[in-house]
Amino acid sequence: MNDCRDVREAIPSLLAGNLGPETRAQLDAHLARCQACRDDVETAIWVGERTRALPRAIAPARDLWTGIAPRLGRRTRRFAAPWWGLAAAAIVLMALSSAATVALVRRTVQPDPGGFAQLELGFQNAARELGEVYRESRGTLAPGTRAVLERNLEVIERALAEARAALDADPSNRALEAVVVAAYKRKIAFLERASAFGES
Amino acid sequence: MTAATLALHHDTGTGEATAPRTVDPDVSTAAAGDDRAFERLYRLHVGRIHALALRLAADSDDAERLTQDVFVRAWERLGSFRGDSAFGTWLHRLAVNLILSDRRSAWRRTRRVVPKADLEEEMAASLPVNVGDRLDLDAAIAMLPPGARTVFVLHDVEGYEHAEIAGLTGVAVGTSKAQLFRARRLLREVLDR
Repeated sequence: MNDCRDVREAIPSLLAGNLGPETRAQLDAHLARCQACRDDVETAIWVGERTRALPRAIAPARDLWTGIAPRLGRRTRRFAAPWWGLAAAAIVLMALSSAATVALVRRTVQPDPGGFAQLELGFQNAARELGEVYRESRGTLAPGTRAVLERNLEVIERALAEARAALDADPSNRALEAVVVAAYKRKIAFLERASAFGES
Repeated sequence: MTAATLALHHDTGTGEATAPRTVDPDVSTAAAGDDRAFERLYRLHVGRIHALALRLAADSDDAERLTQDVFVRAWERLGSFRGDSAFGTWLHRLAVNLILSDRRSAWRRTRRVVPKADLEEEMAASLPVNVGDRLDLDAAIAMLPPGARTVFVLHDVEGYEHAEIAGLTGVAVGTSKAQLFRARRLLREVLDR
């Protein structure tokens, strides 16, 4: 190591204690005969010791958040549930709700076994479509929010499954049909709100 | 504050996903538009960013303004944070870029009215005397010429390599190294008086 440039290049390794014994010996030999490099190395060590003691963080003298908060505009989300998807789902929900009401009122007067099956199919399709919209948006939700939503959805689905099982056990029970319809409506309304989280 | 594992996968360009990275839940919540989560991130990181701004700008008013600008910019860009690095690293890099850009503009304005040589003479004349503790090292850093100060802060304080500094500041690697030695010499001369 005869070149002063080599010595300068070696200083970071010297400070980090990463120089091999042979290189270290060459460095020491150079430093013994070169005052300028000796000064550079001593200065690097001297300044380095003080720099390491510098605080990594320095709190500002005043709270800067008050000047930041008003400047935070609404940010564009990475995902937003498509407006047409939610609008279509809302229309389906309204139609199904009306149909369910009409069908349940009629069934109190005259039994219509095919009507409920058709109604249920409509609810199932609406729930599936909204479920897809929600699944697309769930990646943008905070983990905590997602967990809460999905725990709630599990509760709603469990209630629906229990109502459906009760209706299977007692197919002529009109009150159970109303409970199943109410459970579907709850699930659809919930999925609609959960999907909207992705754009709020 | 607990960390949560999110489904943030790194795009390798091959369509394959790597292992999910653990991300502070406040980061993802803030990215979803929650300014309260963002305030918590601000409280966590403001000291680090303010220290950087204070050392690079060498002016407490400028440092406060720049710190605010950094967090506003971070909020605007948070949607593009993919979790490829730690949030603090991403924020620090954003801060360095923003502060250096601001300083370049400021130095250009200053040089129009004060020749460079005069700035260095002014610095030499205003350096503190009989100083030795860490606060005085910060005071001495603040009085370095801008180019030497930038390189010293980025290299010796923040741990950037010369090649990175060259990329960030637009100077050659050799210039960065020369500025570093100059900064160290000036600091020692002043602090060792």
